[in-house]
Amino acid sequence: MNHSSESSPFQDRLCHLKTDESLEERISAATLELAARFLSVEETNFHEQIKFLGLNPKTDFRHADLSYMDFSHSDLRGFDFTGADLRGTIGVNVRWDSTTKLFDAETADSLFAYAIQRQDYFRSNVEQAERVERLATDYWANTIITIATMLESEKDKAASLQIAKAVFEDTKNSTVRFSILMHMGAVTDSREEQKAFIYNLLAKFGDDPSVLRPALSTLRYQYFNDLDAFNMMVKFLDHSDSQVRSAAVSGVLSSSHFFSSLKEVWDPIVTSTNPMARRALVGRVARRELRDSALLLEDDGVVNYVDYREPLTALRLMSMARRSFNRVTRPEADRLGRRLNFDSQVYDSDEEIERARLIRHSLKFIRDKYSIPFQIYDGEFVK
Amino acid sequence: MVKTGNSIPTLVDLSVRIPKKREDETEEEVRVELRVHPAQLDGPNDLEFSVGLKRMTLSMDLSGVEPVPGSRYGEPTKDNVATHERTLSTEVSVESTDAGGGSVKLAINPELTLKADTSSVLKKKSNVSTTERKVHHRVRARGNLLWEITEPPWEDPTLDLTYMKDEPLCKIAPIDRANSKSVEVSAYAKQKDLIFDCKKSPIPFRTPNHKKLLNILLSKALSPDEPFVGVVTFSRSALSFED
Repeated sequence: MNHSSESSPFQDRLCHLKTDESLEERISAATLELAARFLSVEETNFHEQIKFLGLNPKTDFRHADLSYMDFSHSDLRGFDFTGADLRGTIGVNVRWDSTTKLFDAETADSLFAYAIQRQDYFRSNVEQAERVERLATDYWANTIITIATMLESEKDKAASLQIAKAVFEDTKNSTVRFSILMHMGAVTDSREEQKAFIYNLLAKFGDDPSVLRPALSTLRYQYFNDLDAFNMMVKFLDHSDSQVRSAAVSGVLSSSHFFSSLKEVWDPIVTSTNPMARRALVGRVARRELRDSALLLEDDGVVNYVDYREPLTALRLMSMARRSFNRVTRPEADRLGRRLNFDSQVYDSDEEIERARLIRHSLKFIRDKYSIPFQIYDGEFVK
Repeated sequence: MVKTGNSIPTLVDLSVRIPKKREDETEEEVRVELRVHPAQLDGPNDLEFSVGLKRMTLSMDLSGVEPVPGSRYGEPTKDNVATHERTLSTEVSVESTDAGGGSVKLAINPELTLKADTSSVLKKKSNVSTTERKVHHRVRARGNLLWEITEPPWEDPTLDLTYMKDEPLCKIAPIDRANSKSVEVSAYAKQKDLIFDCKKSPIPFRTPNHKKLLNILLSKALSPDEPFVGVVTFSRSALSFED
């Protein structure tokens, strides 16, 4: 371009050139076909999913929004997550190491958070890193006593916790691990740090029930409002160990996200082999649907809600009715009856029979709405 | 030589011009028009996506010219002297049945008093509240000749406006004895700042994995750059010349 006759090299130059490319041309039909096929695929494993889509781990995940994703049973070594949003990511049996690039990534509440924090801490506390190395390989009884003493001491609790967590990860001894978890429970930690450590445990020790049970219990009691904790507990609903499954079921039932994810969690919960979990399910649904009259569904034999695996006979319903007078007042029961369209007028004037019918009406209402397989007596009540 | 391209003008439309300057001027303005709107994308089997952006970056690269200090668009500056005022918000309820004479005087803060005749039942409620004013620059200058375009946090995050209407993005001045001079303005977004919404789908997203991975697939397809590195460039305008 010749500018010799102009006083300025940029005189009145307009850069405005539209290409004719439309969105449809840019995103090819083949890509959209692949997207449509991907939506219909039931595969939920991250590794298999990215294979299906032909994504490149070395480049395609940079600056990506991966928040709340599930990396279970995936090998993330060699992945480049530079600048990615990894907040709330969870996973069981996840492999990753220093070849997993996390530069500038957001990792709060994720399975990566603890490891990053651990690395930062021990990089600036080299002496303590050496201490961790010694304790992790020491005779198990010595390790347990040393860490218990450290955690019980008032001196520098933050450092003690860092050491305890690191030894937990590095030791091969399951007795040491169990002891550390028990002692750590009594020591206060920041909410985020404790959760990060638990996610790290669940990602690394996904097959060890002795680690999973206390870890899931901690999530249940302390993080029941957190969506990522709920998603993590859901991962263990079909675990091979029955006690781990029970811990997960209890956690999911306690979560404030339970009713918004019913479709995903219902089958493993309603088919639970643990009677306590089944009773907890009835209690959760009863409190939501029957509100201040939820205790109408209290078992007549134990102080808990009824178990839907046990037949609710006429005798049991009458017994529950008698017991319920101490739990649910007449006005409360009347309010519930009106809400559930229970017409007490057509029934017997006997108060116990009327209460038994209200209980049965409530059970049927819950059975029909939630498909809880109650076995309910359907005949007439007699005293 | 002029090179400009908007890869998907229905989504991001950027145009740059440098108007003719007067003979006595040495500085020139780089003027920009920028429109960002969500766009629709139809796929097979009734699949329909909307594509939008929640954050975009304008980047300016200069060669042989330099930015004129203090001329960048959307550059709020902080006062050198910072002051902090704190107002206590108080609510006072008074109920009195004192039949005695005189009056009650309540000091809520030095400027506010409540005075009442106590010969009858007194019920007064007073509220003191503060109003907070927030300012957001939709186009905001960052370091290294970058501008970030976002909506305020209290509004829908999707960019859907004409953000610059022939506004001077920056003034430039030639560097002495520079042989080659060029100005390049590009508009790009990180893939995490793209919003793909499935407007119509025969099958809903089964898990967060499905949604997030589909976003990556579509972002990669949108990007004109090879290889894809997680950033989608929507527009690049370049002016280059030699003396």
